[in-house]
Amino acid sequence: MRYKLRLACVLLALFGFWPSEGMAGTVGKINGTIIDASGEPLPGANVQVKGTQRGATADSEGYFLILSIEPGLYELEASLVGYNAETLQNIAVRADLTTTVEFKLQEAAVELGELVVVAERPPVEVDKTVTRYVVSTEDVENVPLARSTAEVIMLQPGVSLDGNLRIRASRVGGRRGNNEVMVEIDGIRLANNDGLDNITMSQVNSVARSAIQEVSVYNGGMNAEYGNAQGGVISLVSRENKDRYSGLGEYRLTLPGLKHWGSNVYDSPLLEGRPDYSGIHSGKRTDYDKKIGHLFEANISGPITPNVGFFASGTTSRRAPVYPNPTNSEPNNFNSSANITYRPSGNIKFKAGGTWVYRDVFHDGGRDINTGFETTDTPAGGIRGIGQTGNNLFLSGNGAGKNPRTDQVVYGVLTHTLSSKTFYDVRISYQRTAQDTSGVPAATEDVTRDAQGFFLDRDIHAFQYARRTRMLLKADLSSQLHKGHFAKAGFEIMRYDIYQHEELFETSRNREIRLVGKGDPIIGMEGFNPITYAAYVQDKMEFEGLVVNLGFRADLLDPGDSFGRAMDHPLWFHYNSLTRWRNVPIEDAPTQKAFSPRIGISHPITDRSFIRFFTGQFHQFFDMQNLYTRLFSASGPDRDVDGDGVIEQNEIMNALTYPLAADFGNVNVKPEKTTQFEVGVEWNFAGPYVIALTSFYKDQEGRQGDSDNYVHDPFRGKNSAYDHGQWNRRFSTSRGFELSFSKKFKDMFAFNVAYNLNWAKSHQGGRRAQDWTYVATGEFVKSDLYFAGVTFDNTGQEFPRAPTAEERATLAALADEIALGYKKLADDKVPKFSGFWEQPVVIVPGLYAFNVGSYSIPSLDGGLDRRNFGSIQLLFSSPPDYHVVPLAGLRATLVWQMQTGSPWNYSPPVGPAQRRNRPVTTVTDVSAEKDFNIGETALATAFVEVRNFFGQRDDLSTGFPTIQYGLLLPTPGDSKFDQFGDINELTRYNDGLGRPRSIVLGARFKF
Amino acid sequence: MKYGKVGFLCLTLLFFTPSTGQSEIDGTWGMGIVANYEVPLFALNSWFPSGGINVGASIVNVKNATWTVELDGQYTKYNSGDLEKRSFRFGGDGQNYNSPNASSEMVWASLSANFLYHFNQGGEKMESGGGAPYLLIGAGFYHFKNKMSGLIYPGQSGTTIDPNVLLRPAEDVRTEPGVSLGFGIEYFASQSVAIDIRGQYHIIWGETRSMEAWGLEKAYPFHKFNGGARIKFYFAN
Repeated sequence: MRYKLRLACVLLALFGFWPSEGMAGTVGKINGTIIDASGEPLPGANVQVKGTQRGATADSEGYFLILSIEPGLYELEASLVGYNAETLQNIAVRADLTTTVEFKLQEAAVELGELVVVAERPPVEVDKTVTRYVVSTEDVENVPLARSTAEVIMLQPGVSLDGNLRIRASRVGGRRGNNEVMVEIDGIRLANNDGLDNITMSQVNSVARSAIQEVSVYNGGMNAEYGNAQGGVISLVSRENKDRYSGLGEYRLTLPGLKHWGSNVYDSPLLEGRPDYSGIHSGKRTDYDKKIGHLFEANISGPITPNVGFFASGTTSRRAPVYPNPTNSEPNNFNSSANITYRPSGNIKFKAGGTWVYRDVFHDGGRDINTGFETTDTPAGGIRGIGQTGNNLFLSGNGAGKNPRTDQVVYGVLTHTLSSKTFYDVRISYQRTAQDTSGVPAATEDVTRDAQGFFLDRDIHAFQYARRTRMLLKADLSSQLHKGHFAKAGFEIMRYDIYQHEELFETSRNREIRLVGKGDPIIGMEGFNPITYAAYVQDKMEFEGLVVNLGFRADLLDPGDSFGRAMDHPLWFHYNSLTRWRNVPIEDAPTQKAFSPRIGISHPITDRSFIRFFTGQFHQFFDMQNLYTRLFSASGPDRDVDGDGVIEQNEIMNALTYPLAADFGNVNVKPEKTTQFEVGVEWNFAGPYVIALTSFYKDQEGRQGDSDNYVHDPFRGKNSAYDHGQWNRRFSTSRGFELSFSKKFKDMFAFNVAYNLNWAKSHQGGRRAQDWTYVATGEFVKSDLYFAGVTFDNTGQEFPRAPTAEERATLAALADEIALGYKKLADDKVPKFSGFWEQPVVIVPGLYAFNVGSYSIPSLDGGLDRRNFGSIQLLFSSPPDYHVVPLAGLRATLVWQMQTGSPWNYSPPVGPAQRRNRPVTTVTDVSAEKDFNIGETALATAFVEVRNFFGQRDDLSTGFPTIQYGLLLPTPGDSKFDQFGDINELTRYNDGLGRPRSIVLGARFKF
Repeated sequence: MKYGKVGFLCLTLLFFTPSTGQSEIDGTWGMGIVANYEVPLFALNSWFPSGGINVGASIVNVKNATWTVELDGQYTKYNSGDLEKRSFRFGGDGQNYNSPNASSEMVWASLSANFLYHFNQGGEKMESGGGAPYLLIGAGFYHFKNKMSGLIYPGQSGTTIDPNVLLRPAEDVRTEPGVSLGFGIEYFASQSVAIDIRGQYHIIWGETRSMEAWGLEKAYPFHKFNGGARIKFYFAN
């Protein structure tokens, strides 16, 4: 009698998973052996990944390999004629890692039927050679408190909790030049260095939390396939679905409540002395504490045909503002992502996808566009908010219009498996970020006030059009050359189009124009087109008890045509107005190259513990805005230089000159360089408990900084011209420990504790350490490179004027006299001038630049920044059939986060100065959710979240009285404290942790 | 008087507590009351060198002969902090001054889960006259309030101090997680009543402000040790 006995085993089976890096960034691989009951290999046995067309056949040693498997949970079935089939369920595949399994088939004569075994993910990945944390779909669902992808990432060890996603002190998103972490979606690199604030952060959140298949966070060490980044990698793999229709809808309601500590802004020192403001023009209080917040998230997915599936997701929010703003809510915003997957055969897969992020942004007329929706730093009369020390609180609207921003990414990925051991990927992508002002007034009105001194509404001409487009071509070839060698090679080309035009006329006199592009607004502009190239090769070698991951990467930046050596050009100080800049030479800018070797080693100690080591170099090109940006400003009236009684466009532009303390691009900068070492151990010491410790050291050179350049010109005088250029000026080191202690989910409970202790130092030095003074000698003045003053044509256009022979002789003598004066200062050992003759930079014969201040030897004596931060996550989750009915289907989480305050220098009354940290901030968030089954396939969930559960109020202030007499102890008789009860009004609000308690109610529906 | 009431309550509970069958110890529930003496350590010890009395109550679940889980609530008060006796140096005349009306106290309330590992499989656990030593690990949240008042303001101008110019009362109030390690021995007076002698070391992620004019630096994190006895009453399973 033949029969099948289905044996369903829910085992905590520990199949030897042997994960390791070395795969393409978005897929993993499965390998293993198929043996019989006696341990003999079973050549010819088949392995099938159920639900896919992927599989393999065991070789003579019973070994099999299946490459290019998307992250997720799978069932594997092994079969061979004469043997009972065996199915392994719950096999987890992770991007970049290898999952190793073992089948043990029983002869059919035993007639057990098909054996079904539920596997469990291994607690440690014993041959991981870099610090990497992986978050799967299931992990995301287990921490509902993380409302966005960025918040999911923030809970990983080594990632800061201040909202900036800093990894080991390197930022993911931030202001220009600070993005040191690479972000990719489905293997598509997202631009992290072409200007515009927070591009990367916006794109991280473009994939909704519920659309994540997997997020990998590389904390420092990176394989050679990752480059043009120094601080790590965040790799997102978006979910796919071709099996059945499914969807999710979620709504979160944030109840009214206190939005910030301290008194209501209308009862605060901001309005001190003007208590009777009611009845003034639009003077109504905004009851912003009563505002509620909304957040929607949805996704839908399913098959289109048996070979084609789709997945689409979107989120939008209308959060309540912390302070009053023009609309008393968050401006319109929408994050979305979608993909279609087509699999014509088991060996070919095509995935087309994209993300689209739209965000209305208030344009306040200030220098920096508000990327959020708080309006705290704004010009007078520009926009309602607490800017201008409260004098903008009663404005009715937004005088400078809006500045909506769109981030788009579309991409295609072709994965072709050529054989059981080789596959390749080709990726193309088009990315566009655009920010364009709407409703901008044509002219700027004067500032006016009402009787109480509050500003009245006015128009501000503040215009910005910024455009970035990138086209990417990337190809990777991966091959299991030998059982012990998994090799990968590839290249990447990205072409950029960078264009920006800003006009900020804060008053009729104070004006700024920022340009990124060739030309100017009058004669026309076009963008710059730099191209980056990269190629890499890497080999992961697996030996007995040792895994070596060796790689090499080359990066190249071709900046294209640009302004030549603008900062060092002998004529740069002749081009210091916007109209004269038209004549600056355009040159083919020098190509920048970088070579980065990397090696990672893992040594498994047991199958549950290992030690790993990584060292390597990383290079990152400067933020491209810092290569090309030009900022001109004016603080006086326009002059009618041609005397025709009309202020022409050129005459307006004449007044715009190199500004003080602003950005000015430089295409000559070298890539920033980081050398990193890390050592880590992970140990699954008991059951589901894992402890991991990593220490790292990171040395960064040539980091972006700006230097001031002055001219001592015999015609114009001392410090007569000025610019503020970008240079490889700063260097820094950081080191630290990352400790993680976790219990994988088991017995309805899991926890994860992450603690980080970092030390960082940063300083600046070297040739471009400080400010530079340019001194001309008579030799230079006598050359035809020297000009004295300007002339004008009949359009008002300025041109440098060549001096007459007589003027030139006089000025040359004066120049020599000036130069000798500097030489005397140097000879007299006046410290700040010692660089003049010791190591002058010869720009051209007769024109010297020397370091003012200190020609400093690079030093790391700057202040030490020591911080620790960490988090605790607790999860309780009961099954729907749990015997304690009220707890059945209940999921409760608690997240505690902590970070030390930022450092500052304290000088005690006696003794040397000390380095201190501001007070620690902590916050505890809790949530509980309960599932309700609706029919066979639908699930409804109701939940409640409490942020800052304990209502903890953290102090952020500092200062001498703080330390001397106790934190936040106001001096007796402090009038502000007497009146308002808070001496740190408006400084308490912390954008990261520490907001007042807020309660969120929500519901989720899944099918 | 207060301790008399506590003693009476203990005896009442003891009287009404049913006995527990030895073979049914797994899953047995119980409750306990505790009294400890607690001493802060390291930086916090310089604030409150005398420590204070700690009282509390717990709910106990015997998982098996080896493991017991407790949900433990405790209350502690440190009176008369060292700040009350400390002086500051007044820059106006170079003299040291005390604040005669200074008050410094710290109040704690905590809720934690303790996991007790009994050696020798619990020995004669839950058997009259039996008992076993154990190690303990715990974790929970600790609420604290560090209050100070009546301090003369040391930053006064001039050359003469005015003792009536006082700093405003101040508080450090936080609720933070903490962990503890302990050891003890549980002795069963009967099958339903046990006496538990325990020492427990706590580390809490808390922070006080610094009062450096009085030579007190901030304490962060907090370390403290308490030791004492608790009476546990077990109910029939």
